[in-house]
Amino acid sequence: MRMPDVQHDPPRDPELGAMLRSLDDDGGALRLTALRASIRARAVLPLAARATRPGWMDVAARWSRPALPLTAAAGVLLAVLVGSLPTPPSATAGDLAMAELPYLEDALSGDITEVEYRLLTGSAAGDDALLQFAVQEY
Amino acid sequence: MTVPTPSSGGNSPGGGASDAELVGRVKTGDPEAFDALVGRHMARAYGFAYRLLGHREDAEDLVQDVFLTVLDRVDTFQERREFAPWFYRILANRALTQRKARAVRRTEAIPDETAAQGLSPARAAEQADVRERVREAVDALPNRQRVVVELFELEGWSGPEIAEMLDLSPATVRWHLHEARRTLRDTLAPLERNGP
Repeated sequence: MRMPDVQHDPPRDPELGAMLRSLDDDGGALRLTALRASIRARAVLPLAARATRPGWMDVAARWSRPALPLTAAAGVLLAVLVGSLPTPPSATAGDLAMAELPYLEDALSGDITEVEYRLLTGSAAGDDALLQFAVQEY
Repeated sequence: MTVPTPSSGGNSPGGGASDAELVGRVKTGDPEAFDALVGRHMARAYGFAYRLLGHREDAEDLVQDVFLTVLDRVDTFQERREFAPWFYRILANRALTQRKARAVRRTEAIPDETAAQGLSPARAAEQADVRERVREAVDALPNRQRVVVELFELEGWSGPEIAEMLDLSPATVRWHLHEARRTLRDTLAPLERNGP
C-alpha cells in the first residue's frame, strides 16, 4: 500500500466535495432567520452586562489570568531580593549634628554624602548658601 | 469546483467591518456587532453542524451554544488573530464532543424535493438513494476523520489550520484525511462514476 504524503496538503477532491455537499440541509432562509433571532434573544442579557460594566473591568478581565501568577512571582522575587540586600545605615540626629555644611560646588556636582545633603537642604544656613550661590551665578 | 475560503469580511453582514473590529465592539456589549458576526458565520456553521450531526434541532442547538460561548469567552480572543479559526475551533470540538456523548440518533428523513426540482418520481428516488448511501458512508467514518474531511473538502481549511483547531499535528490531520478519502472512495466508487 502506498503511504500518504503527510508533509503537504493534497489537492481538494471536487467529486467528493460535491457528494458531501449533497448532504447539506436545504432548510431555507426562514430556518436560518429564526435561528439568528433566537441567538440574538439569548445574547441580550450577556451583552447588556458587558455594556454596563466599567471600562477597567475589561482591562481586568483581559489581564487577570496572566497577571495573577506574574504578580505573585514578582512579589516572591522582590521579597527574596530585598531580604538579601545589605541594609545601609541611615543618617541619625547625631550624624547631622556633627556634620559640617558641604561646599555648594560639591553638592552641585553630586559629590556629597546623604548626611551633607540633608544638612544642606534642611537648615537655614543651607538655604542661605543656596540663595547666595544662585545670586552669584545669575 | 472552487472551495470557498473562510472569509473574515467583505460583502457580508456587518458591512465593511472586519471580524476583529466586530469582536472589539462585541467586547463592549454592542448588540449590532454581535448580530453582524452571527449573520456572517451562522450559515456555514449550521451547514457544518448539520452535516456532522445529521439532525436539524441538534445542529441549531450546537450553533446557538457556540455563539453564546463565543460571547462568554470573547475577552480571551486576541484581535490581531483571525476570528474564523478561533470560532471553528470551538465549533468543531463541541460537535465532536456531542457526537461522542450521545448515541447517534437516526438521521432525519431526507426532504422530498421532487416537486421543487421538477424531477420525475424515478429520478427523485434515484437521487434520494444516492444521498442516503453517501450519508451512510459518511456516518460510518470515525468522528475525527469525518470532521477533518468536512473541514478540508467543504469548509476550505488547510491541514495546518485544522491541526490547530483540533490540537493535532498537521501530519496527523493529513493522515486522517487520507484514510477518510480512501474509505469514502471505496464505498462510493459506483456513485462517483454515475454522478451524485
